[in-house]
Amino acid sequence: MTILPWLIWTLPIAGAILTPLFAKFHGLVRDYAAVAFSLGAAVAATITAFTVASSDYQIPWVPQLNLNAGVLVDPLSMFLVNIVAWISFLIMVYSLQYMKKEFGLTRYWFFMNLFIGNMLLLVLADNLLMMFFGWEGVGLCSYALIGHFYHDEPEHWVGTPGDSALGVPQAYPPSHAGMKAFIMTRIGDIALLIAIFLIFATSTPRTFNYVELASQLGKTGSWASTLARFGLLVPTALLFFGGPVGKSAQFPLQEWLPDAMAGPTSVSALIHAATMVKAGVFLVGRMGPIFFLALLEFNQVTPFFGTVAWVGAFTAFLAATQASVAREIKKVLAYSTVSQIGYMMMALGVAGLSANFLAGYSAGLLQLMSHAIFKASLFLAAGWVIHATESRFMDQMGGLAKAMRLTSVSMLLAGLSLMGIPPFSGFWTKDAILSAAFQGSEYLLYAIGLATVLLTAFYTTRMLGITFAGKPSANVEDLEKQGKHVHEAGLLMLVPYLALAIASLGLGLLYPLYSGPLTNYLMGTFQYLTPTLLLGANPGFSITDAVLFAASTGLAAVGFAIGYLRYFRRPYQAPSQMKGLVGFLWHRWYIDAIYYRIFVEGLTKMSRGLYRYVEQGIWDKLSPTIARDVIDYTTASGSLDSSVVDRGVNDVARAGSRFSNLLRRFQSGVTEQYVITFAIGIILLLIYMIFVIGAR
Amino acid sequence: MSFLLIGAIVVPLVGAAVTYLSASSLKEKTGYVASILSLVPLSAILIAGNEARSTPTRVYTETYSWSPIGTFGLRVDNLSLPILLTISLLVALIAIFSVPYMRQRIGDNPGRYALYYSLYMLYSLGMLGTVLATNLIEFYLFFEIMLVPSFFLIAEWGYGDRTKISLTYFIWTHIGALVLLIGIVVTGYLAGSTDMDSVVNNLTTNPSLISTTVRLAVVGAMCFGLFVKIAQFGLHAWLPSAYSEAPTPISAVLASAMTGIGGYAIVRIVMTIYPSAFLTLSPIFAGWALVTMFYGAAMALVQDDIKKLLAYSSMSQMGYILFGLASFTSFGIAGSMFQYISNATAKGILFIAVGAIMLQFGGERSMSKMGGLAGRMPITATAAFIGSLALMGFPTTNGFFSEFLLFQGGFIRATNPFSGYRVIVAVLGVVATALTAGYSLMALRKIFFGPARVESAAIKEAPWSITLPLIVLSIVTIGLGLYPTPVISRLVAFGQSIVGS
Repeated sequence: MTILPWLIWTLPIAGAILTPLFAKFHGLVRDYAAVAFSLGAAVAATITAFTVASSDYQIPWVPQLNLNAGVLVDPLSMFLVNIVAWISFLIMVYSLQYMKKEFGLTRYWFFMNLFIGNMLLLVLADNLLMMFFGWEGVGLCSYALIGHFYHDEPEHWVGTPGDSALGVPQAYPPSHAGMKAFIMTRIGDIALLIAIFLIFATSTPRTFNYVELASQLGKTGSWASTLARFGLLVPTALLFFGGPVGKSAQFPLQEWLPDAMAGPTSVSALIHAATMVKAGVFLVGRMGPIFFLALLEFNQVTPFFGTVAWVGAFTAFLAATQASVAREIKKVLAYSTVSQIGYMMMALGVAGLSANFLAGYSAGLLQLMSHAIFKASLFLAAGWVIHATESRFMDQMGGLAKAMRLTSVSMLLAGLSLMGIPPFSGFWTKDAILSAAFQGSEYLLYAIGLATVLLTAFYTTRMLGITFAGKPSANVEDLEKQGKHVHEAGLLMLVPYLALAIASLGLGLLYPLYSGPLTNYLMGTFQYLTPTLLLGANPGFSITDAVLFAASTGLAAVGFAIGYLRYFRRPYQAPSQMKGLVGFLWHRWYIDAIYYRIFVEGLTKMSRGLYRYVEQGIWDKLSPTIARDVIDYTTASGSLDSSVVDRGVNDVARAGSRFSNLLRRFQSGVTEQYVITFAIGIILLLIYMIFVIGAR
Repeated sequence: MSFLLIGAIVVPLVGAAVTYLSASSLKEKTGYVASILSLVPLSAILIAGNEARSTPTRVYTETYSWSPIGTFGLRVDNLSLPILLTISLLVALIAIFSVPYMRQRIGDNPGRYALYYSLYMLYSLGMLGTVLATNLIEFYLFFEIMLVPSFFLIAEWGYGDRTKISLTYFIWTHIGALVLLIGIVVTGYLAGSTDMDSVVNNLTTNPSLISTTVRLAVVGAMCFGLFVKIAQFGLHAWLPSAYSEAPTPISAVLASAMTGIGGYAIVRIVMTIYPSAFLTLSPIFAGWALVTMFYGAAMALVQDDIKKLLAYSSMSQMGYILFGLASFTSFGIAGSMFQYISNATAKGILFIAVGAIMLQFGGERSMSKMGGLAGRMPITATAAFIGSLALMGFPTTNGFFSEFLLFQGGFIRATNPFSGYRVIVAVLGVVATALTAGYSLMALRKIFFGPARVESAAIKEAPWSITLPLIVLSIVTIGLGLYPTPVISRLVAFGQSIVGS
């Protein structure tokens, strides 16, 4: 049964490749076939998880690089592929109805399946290089899907038209947003690549394979000891982390994700819930334990894991503040994703900092699971809301609860999970992270995490309030007048997001039952690590835990209350001007604008300057000078004039005398100079032949 | 004794005459004749490659007496086979692409077609001969034969100030060739032979034939000469105008097949004959390559003329080739030569795609006047996309493995033994790929995305004579991106024969 793990990622890719073919038959064949292939991946993932033994299933690929193509079946990969494949499948089902009347559907289905396949590939790959294939693949697919509406019609833009910060426009067309995502994540990928190069170059024997890299640790001359000797071990680990920072939109590379909302909402759901941004968390989860052991050997754990934790915590807070003022419903959710991924990174960082690696590690991964579920639900529901109200701005919605009862219930359930209200799954997993930070004595990280809880509850409530509570906005009333009644979504759309919202509640209710076994299962990921990781004993439920529960729930309640009073009880007016603190948050702390100023404008200006003063100023002048001298010389000798040459050629051609045509070339002035220089070569050769060979 | 490889040389020569004569009746369709004739060298090389497989050294050589200079040899081995296949495939495909393009450029004048295609065949002869050559003088002669027809092709059918541009091109490359020739002559004189194998043998058995100082000087001269060909920074002034103003099929051949031959020559001649002297100078070369990579990419970033953008991009890519060679590792050498192939397919695709657009836009090259073409020209757009991805070194394209190998070579050199300078150079080299992504994506966006312009309403997909080459090259790009082992195994083996394993 070793073919099964391979099917998980090859099925969606096969589906993608076959999409143009199916499109030849009928639109419906193409659509349903695409969904079927993603279902196939999900089924294969589940069967594999339960029936296939943990192992590395390989086939030869590039022996010169000691590289096999392999699928690594272990608890971590199985945990992730099941989340990814099933949520992706639900998003695909949703797309059937959501994308119905859009253009470029063949392209859409192609890239959706390719996206899923690449995500599964990067999770399942048993080595860094093959992982990088999937890694870049998701980057490409996100680029293509974010820029799906590549004609850049105004309704597909993201941001408020006319808005600008520091002279940089803050509204982007889809084709720009896609490019931004691609380039920004690629900056992280470059760091990741450098780390891979360094690890491969220093490993003996050279390898990309995770298991082999892990097994080389602790031996003399291992890659870790070589890198440590050069003082490059921590830099390598940090560069490696650069990849996840870009992909998972963490500070300082978080700016692409909010603008990635320019894509269709189903794409946003896929990027945020199942693929792409989860890739970074996965990779830290995959290499984190290996780096932990490598760094531990040389007492350098803190700089790396401290960076991971702090980047995560800071990003969580940063993005939550931005979500609190956003105007577009998808942007609230986008900032929220950045913030929630920050939690996961913080957890994985805390894992290395604290005595109990597993606590932070499993907390991060469980948060990934619960976030995937509720965020997919939120996005899909938001997609319908946007579709129904024909606007992406929340202030053009309002009072939708009556018209779409089930959608509002679904969003409420998923929203409560996002806020971290008991007993939803989001509560448990977020609390596990905060508790891991606290128990690991990282009190400052804990405090930032706690402040973010308050903000999260606030912005979620704000979003729900503006969208669903109160009276319908003018925009909605206009639609009513035009006869476009805002109504409930069709079943194909409703079922996926409602099911996910209910799952979020169900997983929360059952959490005490499955969290222990699931954590133990995930521990199996470390089986190939020697020496085995320091695993603190699970202390069980203590009074500290109770206090921590109360603290986070209390703050969530405060955030909810503030949001409720401001946005449920009072009608919402979009502020006409963004000033002071709100303006600062609204313009994303000006980070985006500063990046454009420094990197885009700076680089362009520098290149322009180089072009003008070096290329045109020096090199372009130099060669025409030579050429001109030559031309002057030949003109003076009366033989070169391009019109004369051309006329000559044409005359000859007309006369039909082809051979003299060629001869004329050689007699014409252009060639004169050529003959002279060529002669130098011939003379050199002759000298050589006469004096060297002849003398022998 | 078969006459396989001499056939690969003679057929283009005969082909020059055949195309010349057939043009009066076939006119632009002579291109198809040229393409079919180019398939002969391709098959000959394939057969020779197959013969080479059955030998223990994996070399297939044909030698002909060439008294008193030495032997006139033609060789297919682990290094030359992939390069030769790339060249002959490109020549065949670009001949097809020339048909619609030169139809527009020439019109209805059989004489001009005769001249174009016979020069084209001679040009291909020069390239194949250069790569096949086993003797230094032979190499030089083919190197010059390569230059002459390309010069005329630019001078006759180029755009803009073509006389000046072709002369600039000619003078720069020719001066480079002369400096290379000095190195060749000195080598031949001191080593007592111009047959590459004998030179290597003589120097191994009797290293004192050439002192270290002279070796360094000779390597310096040869590299200087070849760096002009691969347009390293400072020696690149001929490239941007020649590439952008040449007729587009010729731009495609120049940028994809010809320029990189300079890199091949560095491996074939300099690194094979003088490995240790090359290693001594390699830190300088690595830095130089880095400057070229960044400079070319920065120049590409600010161009609006799409052909100029591609020209500077080619310059930057040539920096990658030297970068890998300068690592002096088997991976670096293999990566660089693989980079030759992936740059060739990518640039082939991109120049053909640009040609397709220019045909429809009446010769327009300004990207800011295009936009929204993706829907109008889906095949061209997809191919251009694949070509750009290969340029960016994106996985599943051949560009990924080539760049991966050459950078990996850089890092292996940097860490074994450790050298801070080399680490920094290697890191910066990878950073340069961000610029490649920047200019490629920006160009794609300007041309293919955004609102469809009014003028583009009449734009249709290119004819089959353009889409066929695009599709073939795209398939090669992705095929080698998924399974590069046939190329990598040969090139790494050759690299190991130079640097030791």
